[in-house]
Amino acid sequence: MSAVLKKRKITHEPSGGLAILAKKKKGGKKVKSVVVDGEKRKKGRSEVGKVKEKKAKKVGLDVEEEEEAGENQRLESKEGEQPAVGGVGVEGVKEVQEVQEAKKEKSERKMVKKAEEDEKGGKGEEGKEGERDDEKSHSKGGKEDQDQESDPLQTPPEFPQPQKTFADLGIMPSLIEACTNLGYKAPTPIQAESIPLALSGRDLIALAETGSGKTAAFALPILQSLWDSPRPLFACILAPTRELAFQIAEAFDALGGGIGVKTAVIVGGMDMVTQSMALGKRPHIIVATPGRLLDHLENTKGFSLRTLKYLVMDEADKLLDLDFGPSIDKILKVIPKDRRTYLFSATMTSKVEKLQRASLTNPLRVKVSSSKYQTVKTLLQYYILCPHKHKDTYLVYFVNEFAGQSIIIFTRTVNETQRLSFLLRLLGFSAVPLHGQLSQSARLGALTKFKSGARNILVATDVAARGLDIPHVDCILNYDLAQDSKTYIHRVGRTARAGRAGKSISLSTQYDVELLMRIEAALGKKLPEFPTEKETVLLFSERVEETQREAVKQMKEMAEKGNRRGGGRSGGMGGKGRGKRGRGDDDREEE
Amino acid sequence: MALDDDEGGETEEDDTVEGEEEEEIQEDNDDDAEEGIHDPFETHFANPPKLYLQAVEAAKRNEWSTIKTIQPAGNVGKISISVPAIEDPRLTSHTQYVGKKVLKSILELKLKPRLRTPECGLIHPLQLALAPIIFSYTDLYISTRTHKNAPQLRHLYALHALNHIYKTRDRVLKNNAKLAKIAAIASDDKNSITEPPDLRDQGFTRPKILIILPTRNAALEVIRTIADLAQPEQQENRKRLNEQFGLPAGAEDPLINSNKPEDFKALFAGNHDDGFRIGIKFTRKTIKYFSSFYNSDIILASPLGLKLAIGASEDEAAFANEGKARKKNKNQKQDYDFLSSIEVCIVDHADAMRMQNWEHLEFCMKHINLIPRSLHDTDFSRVREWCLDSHSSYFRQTILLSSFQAPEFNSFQSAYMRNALAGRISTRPSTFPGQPLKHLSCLGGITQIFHRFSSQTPLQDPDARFDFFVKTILPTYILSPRAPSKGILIFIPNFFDFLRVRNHFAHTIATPISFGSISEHTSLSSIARARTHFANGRYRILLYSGRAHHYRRYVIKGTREVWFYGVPEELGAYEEVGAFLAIGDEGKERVSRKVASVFSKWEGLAVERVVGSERVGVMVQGKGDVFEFL
Repeated sequence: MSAVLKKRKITHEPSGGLAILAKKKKGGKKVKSVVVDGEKRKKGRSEVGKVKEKKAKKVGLDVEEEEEAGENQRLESKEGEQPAVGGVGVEGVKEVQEVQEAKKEKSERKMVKKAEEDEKGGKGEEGKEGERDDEKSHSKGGKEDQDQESDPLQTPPEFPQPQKTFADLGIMPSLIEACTNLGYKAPTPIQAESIPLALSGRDLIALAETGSGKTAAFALPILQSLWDSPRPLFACILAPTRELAFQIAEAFDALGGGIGVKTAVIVGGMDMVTQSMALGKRPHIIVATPGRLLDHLENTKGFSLRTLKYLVMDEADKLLDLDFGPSIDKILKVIPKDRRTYLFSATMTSKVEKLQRASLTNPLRVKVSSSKYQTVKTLLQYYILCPHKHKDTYLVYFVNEFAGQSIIIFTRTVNETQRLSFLLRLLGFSAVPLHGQLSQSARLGALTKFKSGARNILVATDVAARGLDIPHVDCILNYDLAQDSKTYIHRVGRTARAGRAGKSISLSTQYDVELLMRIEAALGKKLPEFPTEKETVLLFSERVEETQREAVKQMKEMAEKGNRRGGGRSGGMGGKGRGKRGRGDDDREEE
Repeated sequence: MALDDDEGGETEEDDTVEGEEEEEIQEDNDDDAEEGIHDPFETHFANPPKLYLQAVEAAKRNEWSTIKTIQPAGNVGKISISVPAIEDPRLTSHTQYVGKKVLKSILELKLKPRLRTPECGLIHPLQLALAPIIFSYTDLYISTRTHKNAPQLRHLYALHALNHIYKTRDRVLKNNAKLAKIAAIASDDKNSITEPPDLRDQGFTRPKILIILPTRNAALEVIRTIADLAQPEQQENRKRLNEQFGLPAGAEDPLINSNKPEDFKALFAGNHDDGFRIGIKFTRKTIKYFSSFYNSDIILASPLGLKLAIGASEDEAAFANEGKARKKNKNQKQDYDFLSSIEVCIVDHADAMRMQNWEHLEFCMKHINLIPRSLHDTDFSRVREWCLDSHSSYFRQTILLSSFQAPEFNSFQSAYMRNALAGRISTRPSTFPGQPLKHLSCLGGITQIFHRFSSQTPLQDPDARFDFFVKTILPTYILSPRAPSKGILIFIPNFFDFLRVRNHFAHTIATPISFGSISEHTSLSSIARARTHFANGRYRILLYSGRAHHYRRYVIKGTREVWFYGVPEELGAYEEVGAFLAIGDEGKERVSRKVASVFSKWEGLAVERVVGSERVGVMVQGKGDVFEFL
């Protein structure tokens, strides 16, 4: 254990990790207080309907019991309808969507119900119908309230009232203590919903935005169950990125440290032997990326997951989106069928459904948001239309405008990432690149620098967009527009986390307008244009153009160096990956 | 001195043909009855007590508490017992107990029953006194090895090594059987998920014992001792062993009839090549020599041979290969994983290795018990906890056998004897009689003078010594008109000092003087010329290096006065070189003969051996700089 822990601590300051968690939690509370005003009324009403309902189910959050067959049908209908929601006026769309959603849910529910009817009486169904109607009406009401506010985008999650405590959820005292020490005062909605269900021993599919306390939502039930029957190799958490894996492990260490939980992080880019040693010590919890875990399952003698009790997939859609599919299939083959499985994700794809069929038994679905594409209220989203020629100038203008704030700039390619960080650095901004061709340590290093504030501009490809909890991001600049709306949501989800304010500005050139419109359609609203004066912006252009040439020169130098040495660090950018892939790949789209 | 060409095959020999475990698991219940809680194997390796973590921490901080006492039995002499400085008194009391204990019955050793044969008998008092220490896995540093007691010591550690291997292997095989049984049950009954028991009985790699020896002949003797004890039904590659480690068939050892000293004959007998390594693998009925390292239980090697097996580190390789073809780098990949799980390391005849190249040994020691760099098919579910925690080096037993105490060995002790659980014990003779050159007393009138110079630190010692020698000794004694006109022999223990003095004589001195020099690198013809000229007086002065004496043991005629540039660590060298005065022109003239030495306070150990324990204190610490014995 110590070996792994040490390793982790070298790259991630442990206190930093804790602080992040603590902040997240505190923020979670804040969200509630922010939202409360517009919501209390309907809450009160809905509460009445809910009480009648079955205990496990809560109003405002869809907690549905699903049979597998019902699930499939439902999925098809949903997927079919989604694209139909086009780029019309904001409010109209919203209305339509709401109604459609409600209707759809109702009809689905009926289908499900039919399947269930033999077992349960019609009584339950009636109750549910009633609840549904209730919900529909007050979500409309809520809508009007929101329209008065600056960002009427989302149907905000509704929180159970009065606020629950961890004890109410059935968490045992020693874990509550750990939560308190970390500054978790009360459960976030996703925790409040999923923990009791998890403790009751069901499989879960949980959909929640990033930054909503998902990690603790699965960590707490697992730790509690581990406490009841301690045994090695108890749970395995799969994550799509190495950074996320470290973050999850930190959370487990922080929550489970008090009860003596041993965790091991198994990710690529690290020494196999050291990891084998960590596995040899039979940790309780393994946090892994699928590829390396499979590598160990196949090559490390004496390591198996035959006794595994819990499998969690965090960012489950991502795990399937990427090339992880085959690895996951293989992993699923060697772990016992008799286990609990939790899928956690911000978005749901059809592949998750497939996986669900493959590996979940009788799962419950927990959602804390009804809209598929949803951003938080505290996020101000803008776009700016600029000529392609002056893209860099506009970027520099914004960076200059927001100087001193922490900014993440998203680009489409690795090459752009590096060029922009050179450009910004030459102009005197402290920028650091983060992309998939950096070595593992360079990635962690870049992230640490950004988190600690040593650099306040992170230039990243979409690898950084998912799952990372970086507190205090004030501004997101989409240098290249996101290729699809889901990516967009993930990108802007890096800021305005946990109740804090934040803004995002998307640079749209004449070529990207269509893309922008598609995103707006998916969001269900038009983005306002960021107010700028063209003259002011173009004041920068001369200086920027000059620097562009210098940046390109530096790029070339670095590429040559990379070719010559086949790797090694240059200009603060670890280039280990380059040796392997060659620089022709640089223009390749990341992901 | 270099490796033979045939050496290549030694480690590459592959055992892949052999199955998983070649032996049948015999249900001999021989161990169960014996392996009680008092079995040191059990308490040290298999199930170390909980306090080991505390002890390891103390050892990491290099905090030891030491007590000193005397073990009269077997002439062991003074012993000093060190254990990690922790609160718990259990460690201390146990190590003290084994330090003072004398073996009464072989049964106390918890030997494997298979080894309790008449041949294993330990009878010599020295063996009986040391056995409790060695068998309790305590680190041991002996400075009383002689060519006479060497076979007894060898017998003792061979028995210990064999016992350790047997215990380890039997445990592994037994657990294999257990797991196979469980697996069989599980496959019969698919419903029951039985959790496999946590059986931890091994390290990362198989080799458990490393024996470092100076020559091939010494290795051959150890192997023969082990084979005698083990009495295997079959010895694989035995012929190859005799070919490579013995003398060629029919050849007679030229040393047998020579009149060289006994210790010289013992060291250089047989095949005295110093570049070798060999793995030995044990199965229940056979011993296999030249097994590949990763399939071996015991590795025997010389420091040089082992260093070559490990290979140069990347940095060194890059340095050495600068400008050379790149592809060579590939072949020179370092591999020290086979040393990762050494549990007992024995360094026999350390004083001979000091004369070879001590740095090679240090290099090897630095690569023991490191975390392996590749997986090597290790079953990580059975690797012991403390191995996974990278604490192996604090569990390893290290045994250093030498003929005297020297600064190198003492620093070896503090650097590599880090046994946290059983502590370490070092021994030295109670007193040194110190009657220098007593055997020459028949000559009468030999004056022995010791000149002390001051040097602040051991590091400054060579410079201060050279300064003192050139500025004080040379003009006042050696080059003065009162000095003998011929026959002045200057013995210089260290080769670097030797070069310095020789260069001074050759280039710096204003008035040229006639001198010859003999070092281990001098060609035979030059040596012969130097000796002749020195004997007949054409060379007034002869410079003689310590290593030249160690490897050749010349008797140099025509010596009238001996100067020791430094006091040699080997008492034998002092006496043998001093004895040059007794030969040659006997009877012709009875001039006063003189043996003079230059020393500093850092040479206390060597001076003590020459002048005796009683006098050393005054000479090293006391007032006055010149001490004369008549």
